[in-house]
Amino acid sequence: MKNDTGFLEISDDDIKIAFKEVKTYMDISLEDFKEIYIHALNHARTRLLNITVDKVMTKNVMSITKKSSVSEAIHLLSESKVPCLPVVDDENTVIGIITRKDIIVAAGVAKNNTFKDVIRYIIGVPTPHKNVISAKMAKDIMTSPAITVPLGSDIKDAANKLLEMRINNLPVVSNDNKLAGIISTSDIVNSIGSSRRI
Amino acid sequence: MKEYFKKMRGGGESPPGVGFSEIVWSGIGSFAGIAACGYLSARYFTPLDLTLFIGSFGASAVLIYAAIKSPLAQPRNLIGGHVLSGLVGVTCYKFFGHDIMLASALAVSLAIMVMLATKTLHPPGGATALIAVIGGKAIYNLGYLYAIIPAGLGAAVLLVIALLVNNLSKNRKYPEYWF
Repeated sequence: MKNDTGFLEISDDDIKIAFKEVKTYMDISLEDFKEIYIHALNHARTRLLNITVDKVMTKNVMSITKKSSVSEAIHLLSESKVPCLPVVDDENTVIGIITRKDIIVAAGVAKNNTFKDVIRYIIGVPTPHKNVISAKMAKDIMTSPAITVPLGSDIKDAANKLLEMRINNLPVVSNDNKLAGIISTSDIVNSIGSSRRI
Repeated sequence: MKEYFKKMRGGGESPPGVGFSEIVWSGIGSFAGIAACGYLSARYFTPLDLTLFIGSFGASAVLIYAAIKSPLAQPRNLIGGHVLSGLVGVTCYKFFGHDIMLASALAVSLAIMVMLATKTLHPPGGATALIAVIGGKAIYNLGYLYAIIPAGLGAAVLLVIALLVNNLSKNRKYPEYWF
């Protein structure tokens, strides 16, 4: 059984069986035990989701400057395993982000492809959206402003943002908006998974 | 008002019972504990016009031989509860002994409050406090010694037997903690 928070919920039968397994007389009623158990479980839940993003994020992430060339961005994204590249200015302030999707868009594919566009692409007819090939610099193709999460926030906030925006990676920024790392959905899943040794 | 009476319905379920071995070990422990206490009392304390035996030990036996995991049954509660309640009981008799009813009610209620405040709640302590007030001449003559002999020392004898007997069974462990 799972409750609305997704945590395993204990059943009355589970408790009764456990009471029998302990063998000695327990000086507590089943109801009281369950109440204490649920309180404790809620504390555990809060503790697991109150981990701050800096504990689980990837530090030393790759980034590019706004004046880097588009080909450099393409090269980095294709040669390394990073899923996205934060774009920073000279002070390491995050001003945007380039994902693989941005590259595809820059290559001339519209953000919202119609079925017709796909057919056109397959049969070799040029799509009508070819206005961005001329982009030279990273800042011309990046998504800006980048969606970021502050360093001190907890992973619950980060998870909400990732879900809400339907993305998998978030640049983590310090107070003055400087790049500090990247947190991904898998970072969060790993952290909850490893701290749940119950 | 409806809420108030609704609470009296209970609604919970009683916990499962214990196995046969638990019943036997509880019997063995309490038999040994009370027997030891009674023997020592008759052999060494009665000749000195003292006793090691008060009624509240029957109640203590239930806790420390049958409900051994209970916080109420741990050494801190057993010894602390009897000694503190003994002190409270004797004090109440000394100050309010002319009115036994008042002295009794005060002894038990104050003993409960003192035990709660000192994390030594032990239900038989209430009886120990009451006996100090209604126990008759032999008890009155002991004065504050009552809190040590029989209350404290008798509880200590029960404790020693509990340590020896409760740990013989592989399913049992006593105490959970000392203080």
